[in-house]
Amino acid sequence: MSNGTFIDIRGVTKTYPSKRGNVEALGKIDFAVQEGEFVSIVGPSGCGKSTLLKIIAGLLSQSTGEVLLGGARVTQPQANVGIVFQSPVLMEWRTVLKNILIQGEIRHLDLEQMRKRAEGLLQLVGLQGFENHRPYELSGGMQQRVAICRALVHDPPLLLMDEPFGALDNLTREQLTLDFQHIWLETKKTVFFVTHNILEAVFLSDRVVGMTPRPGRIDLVETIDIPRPRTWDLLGSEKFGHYVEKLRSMFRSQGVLCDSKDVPGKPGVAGECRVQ
Amino acid sequence: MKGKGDESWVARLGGIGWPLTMILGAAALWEILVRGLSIPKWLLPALSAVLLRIGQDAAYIGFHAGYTLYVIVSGFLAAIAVGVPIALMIASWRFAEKAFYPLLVFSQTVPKIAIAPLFAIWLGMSSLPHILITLLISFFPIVIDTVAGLKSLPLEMVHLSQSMGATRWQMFSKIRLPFALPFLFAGLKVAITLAVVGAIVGEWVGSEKGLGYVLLLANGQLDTALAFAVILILSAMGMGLFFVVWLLEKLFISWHVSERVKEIEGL
Repeated sequence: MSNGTFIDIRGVTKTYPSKRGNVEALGKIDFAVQEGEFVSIVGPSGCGKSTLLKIIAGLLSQSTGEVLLGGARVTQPQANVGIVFQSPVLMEWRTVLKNILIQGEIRHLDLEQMRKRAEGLLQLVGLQGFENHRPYELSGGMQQRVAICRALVHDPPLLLMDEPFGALDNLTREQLTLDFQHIWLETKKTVFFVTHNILEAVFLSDRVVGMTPRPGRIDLVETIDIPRPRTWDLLGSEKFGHYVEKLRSMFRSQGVLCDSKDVPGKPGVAGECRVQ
Repeated sequence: MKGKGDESWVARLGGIGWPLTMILGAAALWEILVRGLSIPKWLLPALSAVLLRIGQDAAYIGFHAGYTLYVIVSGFLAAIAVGVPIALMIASWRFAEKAFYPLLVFSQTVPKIAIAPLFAIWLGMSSLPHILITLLISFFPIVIDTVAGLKSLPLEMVHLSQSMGATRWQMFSKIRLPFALPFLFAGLKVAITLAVVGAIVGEWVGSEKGLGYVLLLANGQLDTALAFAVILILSAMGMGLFFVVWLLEKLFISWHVSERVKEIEGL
């Protein structure tokens, strides 16, 4: 079963009805994520990458096509996943430990075992000793670490992450990306990681999927062939630069990124410039 | 360290000191003005005369205050018992929102003092019409605030609980309800002050007991000292009840932002 297909996205589209006609959020997406694979989706704002994540989680229904998770068709919210959102979504009325344990409470899992796992995870993210703190006593980065622990405590086969580091400052973000790599190396989950940050995507992933602006379609799939554990020293390396440049040039040809010579709204050197 | 400690000590004293100074100042001003201008007793009695009256008629005032307290607390509890379920229905079902909202607004725009006599006619000279008026006046903020709390749950939190496979009941008891508690308490604080008004309105319209009844008597006999005595007792009761709700809030939702501001400032 190892290295079989875990997420199978088949001809998925999403169209939202609106007052001025239908809005096509997601073009036709066909893509498969292997078991244990770390796949990132990068794309401009509004390209439907978060929509795709929610469809995989069963939180939104697709307009056409289907998604298979471990061979089973997704028709309702999936419980065998861990989700991390852009905001930590912690429960203010619970302590750090209890925020993580809510996974076990709702799923009726053995709480003693969950507690041991939660404590192990808190250690892994460097938050040992914070078990009884309240969310408001933690910084944004620490809160997001707690959210990651909560997404992992029930040992789900799949981790869905929707711009998990997007609300953090750059330094915290860099550190958390690095730490998250170690967590992933220890747990080896299948990860579906949505971001608009190219560096983050290349740094973390086995494969990076580049999306077009709305309606989002897959423009580019890039396999990142850099051994792990990776460090931020890679930033200066030729190989890392090569992948980053490839994705950047994709955005340039889409008109998402513009040369200084190009004027927004007017045809530029590499294509039409879009106003973001 | 020492300086910081001193500062917080001064701040703490200021916390009680300022309001206390204001109250004592106002009391002194009252006493001085009434005596200095020799205002007639039936127009405005001195504070000392009012306090003296409370002491003299302690048993009488106490009996009626007891009844009014009973009406306030019963009406307030009934308002919670009615208001929270209505809020739950409104937040859970769209049709309930459409069905209840116009009625709710109607119940609030109708002047309670105008319908209070009807309650007295229908329900007789029992405590029931008084409690009902209290309920009617105080349940509205409970409904409105609880609905706001139940509805403002972030979508991501809904998604999160769905991804855990939460049942409707788990979703409600573990997430939606605790999230709405600060809103509920905001409503309760408004409601308890309104409940005091409600009880008096109820008693005014038809009662043989309660501070509202005493107030009517006192006004009729130009017994201004007694009227002021009742007003003082009433406001003391109102503040006491508000304090109780405030304490319960601290007890139940110590984690809430507005509750922990002091804690952060104290750091």
